Amino acid sequence: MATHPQGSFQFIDHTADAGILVKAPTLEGIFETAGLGFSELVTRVDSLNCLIQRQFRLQEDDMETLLVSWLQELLYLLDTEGLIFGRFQVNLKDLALEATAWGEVFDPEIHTMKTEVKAVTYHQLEVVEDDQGWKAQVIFDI
Amino acid sequence: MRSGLERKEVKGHIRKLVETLFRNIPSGIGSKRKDLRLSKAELKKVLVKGVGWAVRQGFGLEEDPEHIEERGCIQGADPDLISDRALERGRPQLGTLGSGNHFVEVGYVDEVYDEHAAKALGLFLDQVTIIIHTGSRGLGHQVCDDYIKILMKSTQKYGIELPDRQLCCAPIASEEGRQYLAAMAGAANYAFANRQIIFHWVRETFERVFQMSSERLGLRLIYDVCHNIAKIETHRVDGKERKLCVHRKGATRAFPPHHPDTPVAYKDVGQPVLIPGDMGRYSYVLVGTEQAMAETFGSTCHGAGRVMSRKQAMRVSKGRAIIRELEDQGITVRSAGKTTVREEIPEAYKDVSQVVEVVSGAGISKKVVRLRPMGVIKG
Repeated sequence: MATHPQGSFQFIDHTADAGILVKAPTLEGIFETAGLGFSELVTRVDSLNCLIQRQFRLQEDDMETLLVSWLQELLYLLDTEGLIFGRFQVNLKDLALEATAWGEVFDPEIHTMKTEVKAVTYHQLEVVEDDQGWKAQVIFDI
Repeated sequence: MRSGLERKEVKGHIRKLVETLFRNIPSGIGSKRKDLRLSKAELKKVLVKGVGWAVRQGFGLEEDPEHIEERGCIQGADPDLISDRALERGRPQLGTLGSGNHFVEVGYVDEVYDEHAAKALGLFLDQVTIIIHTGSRGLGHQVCDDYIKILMKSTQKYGIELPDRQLCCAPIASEEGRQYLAAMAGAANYAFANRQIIFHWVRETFERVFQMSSERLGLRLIYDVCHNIAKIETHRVDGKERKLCVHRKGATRAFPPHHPDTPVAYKDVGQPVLIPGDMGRYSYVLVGTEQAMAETFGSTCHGAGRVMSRKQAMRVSKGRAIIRELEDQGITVRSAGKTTVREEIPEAYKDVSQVVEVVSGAGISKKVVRLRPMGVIKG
């Protein structure tokens, strides 16, 4: 399990795919930590430098879809511009997300190449609040 | 793919071959060939024409489409129904292998089960073969993501109840259904072109390593077949011919001898079917049967399937030098990803021979030859 100021995530067992279980005291923390979980699937987050900054604005009809859209956004930037992020700051206002991410261009010479993520799925998707805070689960197609 | 080479002619060159394949075929995260850059307009042509586009660009031979499902182009693809986002993901990835279970494998025929069918497919004992496993890459996944969003709304619109959020649907004849099929055909055509380009680079690699033309090396496409695709086909149901949408998920097409879509060269034996196993054991070449047509809409399985999750495979392989273990078995492996080889260890998969026994026992495809790996590149 990896712990970060905003929350913690762990990879979960899934026969054909890979998933992350994220816990955080706030919903913002869920989104920030899920972002880190995504990056950690792809490479080692601690090897990433914050050289490039990107802004995000997203809006969806429900929280689960917003989480999937957020991760899809990160996957899109990785696939098209090779960007991978090691730090996130997320603000939520109801179902509208505003975020900043810091990272760099993935370089196989420098960064550990772990897994290529093909898609973020809605399979067994969950964002729930319990007495210890927020919890979310996302399965990736890899 | 088959070659005219025998195992003993390749054995001494396998390391060089695997290294050169690894260099020539981009694999792993963010990989691309600098000499293949596409404009958006050109990419749209790929989506409409599939392998035809690749052959016209010089990737492969005029005869190759004869040996590809649908001749490497599904009709009715509409690139205007594919989002800019999907096009942007697809542009740098054409001609790349990807990672995970995608691979290029050089192997040899280690057992022949059906001499007649093997001969028709141009296969013989000890012959060197090549398998390519890759697909529509990020473009296909983006098409899926985009249409899940659209179809989720249709599921509600048409009042259909489904058990999982990852599932959604629309009637095939609806506007959404038709649009999805036209977009999916574009993604399938991208996948056909992607494999064709990689196939061409495999030919170039062999030419370089063996200093001989691919013609003299006898490098020919046996067959290219899709899996995970929905297609409109005609089948007999309750004695009547009916037009159906056949969705093969985790399955592949296995048409019988004399079916109009079985290539002329294989008319007497049936459409070739490839069932790849894990990188340490074997893969199989089979042919389709009448029984598949009668019982499974002309379909059979497409691979071994995992028994271990990737995380479990990482646990089991901890502290083991997997590449070395495979090398000791005579299999050279090169992988872009640090963890891919451990996640893809042979024991993470079902024994493909048991899977093949089931499909051949059930009569939905017939065993022709078994292949053993010699060299593998992975993403």
